[in-house]
Amino acid sequence: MSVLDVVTQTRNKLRDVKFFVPFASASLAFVVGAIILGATGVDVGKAYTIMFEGAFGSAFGFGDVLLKTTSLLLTGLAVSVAFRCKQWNIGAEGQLYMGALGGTLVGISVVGLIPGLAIFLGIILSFIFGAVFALVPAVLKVKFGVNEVISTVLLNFVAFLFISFLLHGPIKAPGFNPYSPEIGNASQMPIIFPGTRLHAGIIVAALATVGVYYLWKTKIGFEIKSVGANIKAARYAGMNITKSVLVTLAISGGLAGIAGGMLVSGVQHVLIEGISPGYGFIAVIIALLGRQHPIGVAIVAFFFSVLMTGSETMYRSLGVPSAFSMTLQALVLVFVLVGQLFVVWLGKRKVGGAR
Amino acid sequence: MKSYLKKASVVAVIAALVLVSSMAIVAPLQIANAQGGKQLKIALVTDALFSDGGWGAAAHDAAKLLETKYGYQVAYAESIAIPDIEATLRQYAQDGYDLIIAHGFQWGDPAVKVGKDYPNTKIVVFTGLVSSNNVASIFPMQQEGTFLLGALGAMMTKTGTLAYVGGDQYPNIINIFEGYKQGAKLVKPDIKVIGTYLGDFDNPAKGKEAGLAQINNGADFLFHVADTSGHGVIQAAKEKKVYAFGAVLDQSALAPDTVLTSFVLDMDKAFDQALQMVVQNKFEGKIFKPGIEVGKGASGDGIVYLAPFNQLDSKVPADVKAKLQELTQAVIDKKILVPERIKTTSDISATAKLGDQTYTITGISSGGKINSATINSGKSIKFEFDKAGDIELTLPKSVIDGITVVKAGDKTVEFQEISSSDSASTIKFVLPEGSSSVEISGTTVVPEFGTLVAIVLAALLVGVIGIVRFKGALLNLGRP
Amino acid sequence: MKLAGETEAVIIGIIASGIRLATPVLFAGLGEKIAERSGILNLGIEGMMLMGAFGGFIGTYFTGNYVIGILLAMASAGILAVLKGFLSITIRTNQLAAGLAIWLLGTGLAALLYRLTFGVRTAAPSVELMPKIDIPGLSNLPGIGPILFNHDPLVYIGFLLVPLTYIFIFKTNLGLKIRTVGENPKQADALGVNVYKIRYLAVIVGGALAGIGGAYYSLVQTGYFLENITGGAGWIALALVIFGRWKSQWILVGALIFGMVDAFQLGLQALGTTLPYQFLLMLPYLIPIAVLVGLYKRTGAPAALATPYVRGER
Repeated sequence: MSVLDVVTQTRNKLRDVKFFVPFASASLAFVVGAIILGATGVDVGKAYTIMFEGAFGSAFGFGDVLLKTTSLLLTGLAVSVAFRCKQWNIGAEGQLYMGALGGTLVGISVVGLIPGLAIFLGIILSFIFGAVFALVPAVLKVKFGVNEVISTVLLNFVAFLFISFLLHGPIKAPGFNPYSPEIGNASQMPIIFPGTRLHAGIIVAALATVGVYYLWKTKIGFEIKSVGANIKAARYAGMNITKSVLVTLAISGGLAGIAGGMLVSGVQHVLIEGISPGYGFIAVIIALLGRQHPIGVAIVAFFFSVLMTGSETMYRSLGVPSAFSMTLQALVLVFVLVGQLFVVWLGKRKVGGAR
Repeated sequence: MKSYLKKASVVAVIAALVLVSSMAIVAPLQIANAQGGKQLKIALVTDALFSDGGWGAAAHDAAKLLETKYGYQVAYAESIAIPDIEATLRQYAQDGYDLIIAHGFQWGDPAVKVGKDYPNTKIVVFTGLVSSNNVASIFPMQQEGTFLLGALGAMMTKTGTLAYVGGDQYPNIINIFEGYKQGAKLVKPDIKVIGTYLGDFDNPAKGKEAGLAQINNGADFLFHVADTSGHGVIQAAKEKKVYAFGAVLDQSALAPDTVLTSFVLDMDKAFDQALQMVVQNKFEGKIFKPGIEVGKGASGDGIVYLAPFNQLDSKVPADVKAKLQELTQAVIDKKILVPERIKTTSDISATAKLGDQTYTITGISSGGKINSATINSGKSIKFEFDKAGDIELTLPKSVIDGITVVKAGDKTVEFQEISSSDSASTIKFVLPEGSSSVEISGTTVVPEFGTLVAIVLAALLVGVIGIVRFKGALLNLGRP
Repeated sequence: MKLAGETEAVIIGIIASGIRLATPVLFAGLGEKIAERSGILNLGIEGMMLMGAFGGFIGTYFTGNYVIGILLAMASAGILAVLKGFLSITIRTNQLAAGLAIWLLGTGLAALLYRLTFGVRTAAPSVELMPKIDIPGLSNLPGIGPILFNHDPLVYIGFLLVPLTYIFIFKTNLGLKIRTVGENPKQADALGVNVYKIRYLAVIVGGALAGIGGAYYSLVQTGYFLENITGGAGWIALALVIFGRWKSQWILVGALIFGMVDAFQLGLQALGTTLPYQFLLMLPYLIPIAVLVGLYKRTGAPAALATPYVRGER
């Protein structure tokens, strides 16, 4: 597999009608969104123009799109890795927070002042924190058979509260607000395009995408996929199921952790409650829509951040209630899912034709 | 494995190139966003919701008032996620907004950052603690208002227990509750004040259960600073027929027979002040700390006041009202200080012996407890603590009066006299890290027995002479 | 003896409070159980509960009638359930994705509709709370009275639903069909059961019950509708079903543990404790996991859970 193969594959995909169905469905969602907007008495044309401009109309706006892509891509990859092994990790949000903690701890220590090492160790520790926190449900699952959907969902809340505790006491900066101290200069991700908030984290996310792409080519990646595809067959083939589950969730949590680390080192430069507005939850949708393929996840993550950035700009400019933004995102998702009906129908027609 | 890494880095570089070049194409579009128009452009931005019936709604109404009163257009943005705060500020600054009112302390640091890049935009952070050339903060002394709530509750409680429910343990909220405790204790030193934190500002169900649990533990006044969770606290009070105190705005309408009063943040006034600074071109980049005022629309700069009792007016005895008024004036006149306290305190006390007399000294501390107190007759009182921290001590005047110097070890520590009555005065100081003892000196410290006898004898002598002379005067008067 | 009396009052208060906190998750959990028994996993309960909270609120607000409110709560959540059914049964999309879509849609739509109806007000519109009903003769019993027989009607209905859903699933013909569809849809189909119809029915009933759970917050607990009023209860309900191993009685136990732990931590804070409150708040999330560890490897999941059924496919 080389870069060229990827390009060829993508080109072949683009030739397939199926590839465009989700985009057509998403457009339909905008039509429904327009009806709702119209009902609120807003100039629909103007609203969508602002939305488009919000995402593409300025360097800053587009920089923010890519900034959100960084978070959504990393968490999306995290969830997709777990899903490939049929481990339904709904806990990426909590793992993100723990990763943010890991990154912060490096940043506020002496290491945070050493150029190069600070960023590198920050990423490593956010990976480890996210991974260890994801290993809790993993171990509970392989040792005690605790369903990971429950444990990962519930552990999100535990992570939020734990971070809240730390920010009100042990790692609170002197002063009034419940923030951690600011991380050292060397720990802060450099802005790669002046005049925007886009930082080098997008490169980390791109590397992670490539990493996950090649993960599936490795032996352990193959085992993980096999366990996910057919656990009985995998066991029969002598694969170590326990190991696969543990490794999968560790990688998954680690990637989500890096997303959290990036939010601290690239955006806030301090740890703060509410550092993520639910990226880890949206990631589940992104992983599913991207069909758990790293390239697919990247495309969907980009599309969603365009949608989020644009719709937020719109409601800020027009005074539309913020709930509209969420409703529109949900509508897009519903329509994309419904669009799959069309894909199924296309598939059936082909089969029918071959007969 | 190595070849994978190589390929990975190639792909990464290509991806990065694609991204950067796409940025370059997009960048010129930015200029299209030209600004114009003479009308003052105002924006209100917050991470809260405008429909929360509290903190956010009050801000929304105050900004609406700027529209109706002066005819300005105000843009609104609510429910902004923390990572999007900076982007939001930047968007408005870029669109040429003259004044951005940022509602919530989380907006402080991003405001300074964005303000640097847009010197023509003025940002006012409500409840912030930051400032720069074009960024100011309004940080209301809310604890002065809640001090009065605590005093009111202490005067009217039947069970001797007051309660508070907080949304989250932000320093700002700790400060509010510390003021409440100070007020309560001033009126009734042995009062019990219990508190609960919900970890949640929008969970009224939880707020209600927390309130019910407090009532079960004997509280008959519930005070909340928990935004929409607080609605549940008021419901709990309503159900169990005890009183509640509202927060941020006059919440009497939520439960007219339950909400005795509320501490109100006069955002109408605050936002107007912010606007006037911009209109009259006298913007000051500093932190304003307006305090208590007598009521809505009172002259002066205060923006915190207690709401009227409304239909519960008849339930408040006249002497309580009079005392409350007196305390309000004392706070306004700085006769009683309600300092900012950002750490939760706990009660401390100690006894000191001198001869057969035992004196009890009480106080609060955010750090250590008192290990021992010794009276160094004629000079000072010395306290040994087990830890450093913010300390407040109430010292009976019979023990020490006219405090002059507070020393930690051999270093002089700054102190503040918070309140003073005929019988005692309360001082506040910070015991610095690394020191554990404090020596407080005053003009008169309770004297030793020997001195005491001398003083008593002297007093008697003076008294006798006085009486004799007085008698003489009387006798003289009697003469025709 | 006064002290003992006070302690007793505190304990009774905590238990009664626990029952109230358990009720909404009990409704949602029992509903989700029925849906899952038919093979449909629904991650969107939180969204359905929010729609229920909104529907219940406006129904009662405009008519002053709780019954209409509850019916509207069931209908609003039911509509989302129909959509969930369409996504998961008819077009067979991934059930996790469909559930999350419903969650987002319900959360966004409830908030949006509320804003469109009422706008922004400093005094949030409210309804009178649903009155409590004392069970005559029983509510005065010492201890047990205030704990069990001094509640609002929904608490009684919720507890009544526990045996009713049990009977429904295990003793009725329809229940048998639901179970068969959830365990072995092919066999059910062969027996002449309309798998799609049964699954739709189960999902809609589940949604309607989640709607009542949501309305509990707006009509019984607070009298308001607020965005996020359910505060994550939908996720707890989801956990309860798995925790309760798809059995009504165990879901009840789970709901009670959750409610009691929550009430206990609030009570403990009110008593005064030096433990950081965040750790107390963690208890309702940690204890279900701990209990699951204790239930070591006992499952009982419907075999066809989260697998779509295609007629005529092998």
